Amino acid sequence: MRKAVKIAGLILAGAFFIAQFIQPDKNLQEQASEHDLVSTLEVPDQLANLLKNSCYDCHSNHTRYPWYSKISPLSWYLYKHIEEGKEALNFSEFGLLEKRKMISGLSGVCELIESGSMPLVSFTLIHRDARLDEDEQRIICEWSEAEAGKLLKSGPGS
Amino acid sequence: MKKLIVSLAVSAILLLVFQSFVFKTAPAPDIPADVNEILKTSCYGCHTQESSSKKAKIALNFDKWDDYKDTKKISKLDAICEVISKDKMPPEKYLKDSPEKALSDDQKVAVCSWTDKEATKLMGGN
Repeated sequence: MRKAVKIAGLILAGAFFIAQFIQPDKNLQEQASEHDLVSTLEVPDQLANLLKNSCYDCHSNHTRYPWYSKISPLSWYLYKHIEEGKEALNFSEFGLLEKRKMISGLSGVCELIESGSMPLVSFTLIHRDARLDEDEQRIICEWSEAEAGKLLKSGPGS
Repeated sequence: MKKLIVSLAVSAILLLVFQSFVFKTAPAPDIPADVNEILKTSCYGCHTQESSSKKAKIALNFDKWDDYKDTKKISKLDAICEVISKDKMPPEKYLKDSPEKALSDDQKVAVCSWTDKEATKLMGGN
């Protein structure tokens, strides 16, 4: 019995060791892209900072990785989240979206933040400073709704 | 006189009942009959005012459609097409008990061409 536990432990440790050599690609493109949200729409500095701090780690091409992100299987977990986040909305490539997608994206930003679905709890548990208080939520919502409205008013063009 | 009052009262009640019935079955925007049938079968169960799922109602409530801003309508229309195309909706666990509520490929196309048309209209195009 003790032997079995020992063997199981060794196998686990071995698997953990080997897993460290399997690392996903890092999401580390240059921070300022010409298609970034801040170059596409009117984004006041305060707002840009809020978004960068609370959203960009998963919704842009540039993640600020913490030290433990290098440890498998955590690195795999982060990789998956970032991929999903970027697929839903990538602020680094916001300027490449059709106008209609921009409107949908902005409308979704307010909705998800207001309902507390974003930022993800698993993210804010570790990044305490990424939590958005009610004032910050309101600031983001007012801005995103206003920008979406402006885009809509500007007509159907791309 | 009494008769008149009674008959008026009765017709008023009938009218109210009829009205609530009509409003219950005819929510939301310009929906063609075939699409409305699909939505009725597969979506309204959770995404209308009478739904017991708070989460579903917050995400999309067809009875509140007219209260949505145009930007939100556009966003919701595109999201409807996206979630049904990716089989995120109706939820798998809901389909387990009611497999007849799953959307066929043809039904998905019908819903998506409707959402696309409506969203295009809202964007100011034709």
